[in-house]
Amino acid sequence: MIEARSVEVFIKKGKIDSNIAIEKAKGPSAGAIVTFCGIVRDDGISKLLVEADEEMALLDLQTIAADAQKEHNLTYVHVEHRIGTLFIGEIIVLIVCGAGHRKEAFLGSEYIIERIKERVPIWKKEYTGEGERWVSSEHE
Amino acid sequence: MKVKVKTFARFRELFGSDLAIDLPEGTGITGLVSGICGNDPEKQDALCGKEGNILGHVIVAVNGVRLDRDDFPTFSLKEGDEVALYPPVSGG
Repeated sequence: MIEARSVEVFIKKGKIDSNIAIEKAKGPSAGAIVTFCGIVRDDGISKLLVEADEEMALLDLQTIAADAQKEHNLTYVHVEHRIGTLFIGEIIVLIVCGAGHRKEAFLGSEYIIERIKERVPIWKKEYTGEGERWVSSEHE
Repeated sequence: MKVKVKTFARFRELFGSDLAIDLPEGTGITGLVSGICGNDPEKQDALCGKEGNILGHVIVAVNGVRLDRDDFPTFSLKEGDEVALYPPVSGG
């Protein structure tokens, strides 16, 4: 049986539930599902603000997810990025990749998070007891 | 001619959001950023330096399409263009 390949991307304000995407990634051709969650880490911050140019970011996520699917032969790709105010331990970004084999799913997931960090117009601001600061880019 | 400039994150705080800028016909990207930075050192440090050269990892999009850095010197804005200025991104 050949599955319809599926790519889903979201930018949302509410909390992210990884279980929904994992269930959707299951299918007769998916021998592996890799889940990547970027989490708000306790670096002495009280909260994190995530801002995006939503229109451009959504288009970018769609392109990146479709490229990953094609490049790594993924059966399912789900990318979800949160915006708004987040607290320690909450999911900032969720990537779920389904593939026939684990290697493709791992590579697809890595490809997506690296492209997000490189080019998608999303920014994070950390709030601490001393004040607030925009997080600098890994590529700056 | 009038162009609209959208800014985000650190740039929004520095420059304000949704700017409407009046520029001479044929102004390019360098002219635009020099204009909005003026002589403010903080703005220059964030966006374009004193020479008006846009700093690395700053992304410029016009009407929803990213410009290649190599095209900055030759690109001319038109009446009604919408320019987005992105500081270095930090999502994920």
